[in-house]
Amino acid sequence: MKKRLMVLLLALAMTFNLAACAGEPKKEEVAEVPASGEVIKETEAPSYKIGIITPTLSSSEDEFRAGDNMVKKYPGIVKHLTFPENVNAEMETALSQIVSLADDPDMKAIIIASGGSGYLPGLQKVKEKRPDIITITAPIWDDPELMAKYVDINLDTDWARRGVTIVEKAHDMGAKTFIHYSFPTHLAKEVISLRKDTMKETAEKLGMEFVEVVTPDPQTGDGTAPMLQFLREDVPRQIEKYGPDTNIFGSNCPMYDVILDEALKLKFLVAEQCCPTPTQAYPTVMGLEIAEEDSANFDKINAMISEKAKEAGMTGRLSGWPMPVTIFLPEYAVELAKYAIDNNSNLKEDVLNKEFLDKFAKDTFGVGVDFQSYQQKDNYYMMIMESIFY
Amino acid sequence: MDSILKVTGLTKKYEDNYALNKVDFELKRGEIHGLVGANGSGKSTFLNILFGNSIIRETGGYSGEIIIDKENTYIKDTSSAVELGIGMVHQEFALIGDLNIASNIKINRENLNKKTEKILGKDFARVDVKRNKEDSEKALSILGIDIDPSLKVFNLSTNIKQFVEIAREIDKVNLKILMLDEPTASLNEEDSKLLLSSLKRIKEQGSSIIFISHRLEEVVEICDRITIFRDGEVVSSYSKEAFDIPKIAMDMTGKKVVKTLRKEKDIKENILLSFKDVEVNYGQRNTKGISLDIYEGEILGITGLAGHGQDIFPYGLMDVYEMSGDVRFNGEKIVPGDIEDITKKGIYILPDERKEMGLLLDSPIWKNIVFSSCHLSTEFLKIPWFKSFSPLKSNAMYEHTDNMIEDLNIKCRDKYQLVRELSGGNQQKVCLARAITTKPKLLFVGEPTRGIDLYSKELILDMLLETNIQDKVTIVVSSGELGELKRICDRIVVMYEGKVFDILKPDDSDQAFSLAILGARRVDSEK
Amino acid sequence: MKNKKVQIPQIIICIYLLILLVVVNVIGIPIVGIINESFIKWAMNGVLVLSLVPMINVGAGMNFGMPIGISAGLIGLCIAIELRLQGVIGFITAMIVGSLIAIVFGLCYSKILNRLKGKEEIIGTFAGFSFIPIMNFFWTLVPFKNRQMLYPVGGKGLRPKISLKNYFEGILDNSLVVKIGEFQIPVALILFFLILCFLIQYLYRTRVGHVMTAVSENEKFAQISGVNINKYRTKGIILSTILAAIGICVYSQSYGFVELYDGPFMMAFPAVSAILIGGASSKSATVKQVLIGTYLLQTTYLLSIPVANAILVPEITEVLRMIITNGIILYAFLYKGGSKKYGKI
Repeated sequence: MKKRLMVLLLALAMTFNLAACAGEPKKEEVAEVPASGEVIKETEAPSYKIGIITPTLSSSEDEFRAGDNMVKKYPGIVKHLTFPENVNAEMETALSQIVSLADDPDMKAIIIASGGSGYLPGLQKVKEKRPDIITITAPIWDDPELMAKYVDINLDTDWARRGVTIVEKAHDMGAKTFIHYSFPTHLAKEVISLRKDTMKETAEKLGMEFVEVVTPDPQTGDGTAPMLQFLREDVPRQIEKYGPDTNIFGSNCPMYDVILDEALKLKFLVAEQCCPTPTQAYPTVMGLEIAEEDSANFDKINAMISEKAKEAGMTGRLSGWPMPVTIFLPEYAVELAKYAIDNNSNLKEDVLNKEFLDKFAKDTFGVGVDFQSYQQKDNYYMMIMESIFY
Repeated sequence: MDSILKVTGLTKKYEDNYALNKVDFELKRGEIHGLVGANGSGKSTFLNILFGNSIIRETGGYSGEIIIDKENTYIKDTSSAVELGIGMVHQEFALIGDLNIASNIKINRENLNKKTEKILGKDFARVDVKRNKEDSEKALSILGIDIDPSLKVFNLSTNIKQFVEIAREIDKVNLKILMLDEPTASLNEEDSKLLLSSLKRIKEQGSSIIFISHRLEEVVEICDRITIFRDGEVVSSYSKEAFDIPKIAMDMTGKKVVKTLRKEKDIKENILLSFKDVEVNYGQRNTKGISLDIYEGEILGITGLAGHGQDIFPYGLMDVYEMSGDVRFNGEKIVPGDIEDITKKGIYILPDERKEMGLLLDSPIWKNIVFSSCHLSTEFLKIPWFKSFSPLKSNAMYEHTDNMIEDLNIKCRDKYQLVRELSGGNQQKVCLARAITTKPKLLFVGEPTRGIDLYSKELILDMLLETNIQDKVTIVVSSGELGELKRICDRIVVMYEGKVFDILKPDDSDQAFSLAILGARRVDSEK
Repeated sequence: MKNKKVQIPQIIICIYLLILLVVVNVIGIPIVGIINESFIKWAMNGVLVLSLVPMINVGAGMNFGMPIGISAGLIGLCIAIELRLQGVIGFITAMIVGSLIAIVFGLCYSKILNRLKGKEEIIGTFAGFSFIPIMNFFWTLVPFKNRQMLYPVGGKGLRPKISLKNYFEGILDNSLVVKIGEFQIPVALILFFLILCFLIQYLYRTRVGHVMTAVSENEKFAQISGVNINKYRTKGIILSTILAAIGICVYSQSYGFVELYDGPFMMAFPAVSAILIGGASSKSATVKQVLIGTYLLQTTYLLSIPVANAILVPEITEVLRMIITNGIILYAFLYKGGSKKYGKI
């Protein structure tokens, strides 16, 4: 609790831009070191450490919680730092944080889970300084070629392939029409526009109608409200036109508050969210009351969603991934690093192959995950999780 | 001596009023020429024309001939005035606080490093700071000031700033005519003397000076000639030998045959409002120890030159100026600035700046007339029990407005006409109507006839008298129009430098008034 | 008179609206549905626009600090949800609690604005923006217990969006809906909005309203006439804040969610555009201008995007819409400055 308060205070301080850049990493360490220090005495943990850096709680909850969970699970081993609140403006601080982890002689692996770009130089520096440290990205979005060259293991969600899988899943669930909501600044991103094109192609192949709708842009000043207002108005129009056997996909997470809410009323299909997770939109829309001790218990949350879906007569019409990929990947990376260090394995031979990665996910997390190497790179793997149908 | 400036038939009209009417004026080379006159006599308009002030151009220019150095010219803007060799020192300082004295003096006329000027041109040449400093020192030494020109201006005291202003003008190489508008107003006695002697030195350098001051002693002391303005006309002109302060003062105010409108009243010395030893901050000034008693039932006039504090009493009460001290109304202590309490007690104010503070220009006539009564009394409330949230009785308000329009003979289309569209006189009537509607015990009126045509002036003066006698309202009129005050007032207070200088009877001689206004003691003139 | 003239912003927006309507007809988007939605959008945003009026009419300018009032309303909504109050009772509780908090917030806000007279619009923008992080802090720390509104994963702190489905979603939208042919008129919603409008209209027929408008027209005049200006400004600012609080309650019940955190961030701007389109200046505004402006602006919002999607130039229409709404704000400010101060050069 104390720590959380500390982090919150820090977040506030940063919002007000009062915290000096140089001061932040130090404060973090003050918050972290005693916590891990205490535990070391109790458990006599092995003499190596794994560092993980995530965004702050307020900028991205899932990654932060994942890091936090790992600290709790492996006290004394995992060391969790957070990037500055406004990373883009303080990239220098972020990079120095990455490099500072390598100062610890016990450090054996460094994991960055951020979903941003610009961190690669930090990892390069780590490698120059300490070639023995295993570096994992889970994920960062720098240039894939360079990432494959300088980082030991790169993990990411297979965004482009989801263009195929989501549409196929929707088709299997009975969709005759596939509606894709997005807006100009999103469509300008290569990944998203590529995925959209793939979706269109797949839909046509499967004989589905593909409808593309552009919403007001939340990134051009007015925030998400006009976009959501528009969805509130437009979704019923579209369903009236195309009928309930329609799958709706939106490229922006906040859209799902409205999409799922309307889905419960209008009974259309939602095969997968843009960032599939039971913890987003579902709890809000369904008014789930998740007890504090269940907050990381995804099985229970999924069960609650299934029940609400049943109440709404929506069984089998909503689907997603059983746990958020933004929690899965960072935790997976930590587990993988720990496994590799404990077994002293040779990364190239023992770890970096599809069979091992898939099996490791099933064994550790109990969820089926399909990894595929990205453009035949042997250390760059993209994953898709098995679906859960509510 | 030949003349450097000759003006003939100079006329300037603001809308319908003549600010200057066929003024002839001559300034000889190397003389100091004093300009005197009451407020609004046309002195500043005269200087504004000569210095090409933009107000003149925007309001339609001037007519008449201006001959400078034997050349007939039309002064269209300030820069052409400067080119002609005219320099002006304003009452307000035009200095840049963050620059040092030398930079302020040499601004826009900087000495430039010749080499860089050749290469980079005038705009980008390096400024020769050393020569700037030398020039500044020279200009300041003419004024008898010994100060380091590299000091920043905002650190300087007011009097030094005044000298810096003058130094900037006399540093101009082609300076022919220097005009000073009340340069001694912000100076103490010692510095005034210093300034006056430095003016004499400037004169010896060959420049001619036009000097405006309200302090007649100064004018008489340093000027070679004096021209007296009154109501936009030149009334007289004297040379050194013929200087006579009482006579000049008389010329300024004019010997008007005053028909007293006022009937003799029996004013008992019942004090309605008293100021005892109050302190007022207004503008940059602070005045202490002001005392004044206002008797019940009288019309009290307050006069004086602009800026000498005729308006401190109403504005002090209404929190426009900061006032503190012992103020009693009907013997009861009131707090200056507690405007709600003061208006509720029955003190009402019609400010001199009618358009700025006295009217809702973009609202209809009816709202202007009933506004204060709606606010102060329950007269126009439909359901008084609702207090402020009661709806208003529109019919009663309209009816009252119609009555007022008829009684006061306000010329307008109808009661819905916007006040902005009315003439000055009718606007003033609307103000008076509003004041009368509130039924005050004490009414302050500022400059009731300013900017109003002759016919309406009479009406408004009548109205004030009528309100005083019939409605038994005590009235305090502050005005620069002494003649009008004399016609309606029972007593007239003369303000000088923010204090009550003297209280005169309306039938006291014009001379006594003129001298009091200029701050000269009556005893002096009687000697 | 001045107000009766149709001003340029209204002309532009009407032309734009007409073009949209024609296109809607041509491409066959069901016009009845659009009209039905336009009623809801009109009333749901109308109260927020109406909340600008009291502040404008005491001379405190456009309330760019609207997030302050909105935050008060959000607290009211959250408290109603925390107490699990459903239906009408929940909605009324939310408005009452929100209004009470708005009085406190408005008082503090007016203290700031009264100290910095003449710069209200800039100060208000800053005050509104800087109030958001303060509220963010509040939302994360407030010890509410209703788990329907807490973060699902961390279990502490309020969610960015709270669904009103189990409470009072659409309580006004869906009550007393009168159907005339295909048209559906949400009578309760419109009635509620019109009652508020009437109350404000009534206010300007009373002594208080009379004085307030005088303060905004000529502050010095009011002072000389014995009006305690700051007192009236404070009243006006508090009233604006309360209306903003009620406005967000009405907005949220239509919207279906309570949007916390950065939700109120930009809400002042569409409201200001609406009232300016209605023909208000930053010195005076009437209820009529609120009604007209809100309807025009919200209907263009409603129409422009379906049309854009249908004629497949979405980016352009989005840009056009931004230019028109923001351009109107800019024009209104220029016009205000140009005609009064710099007209005669």
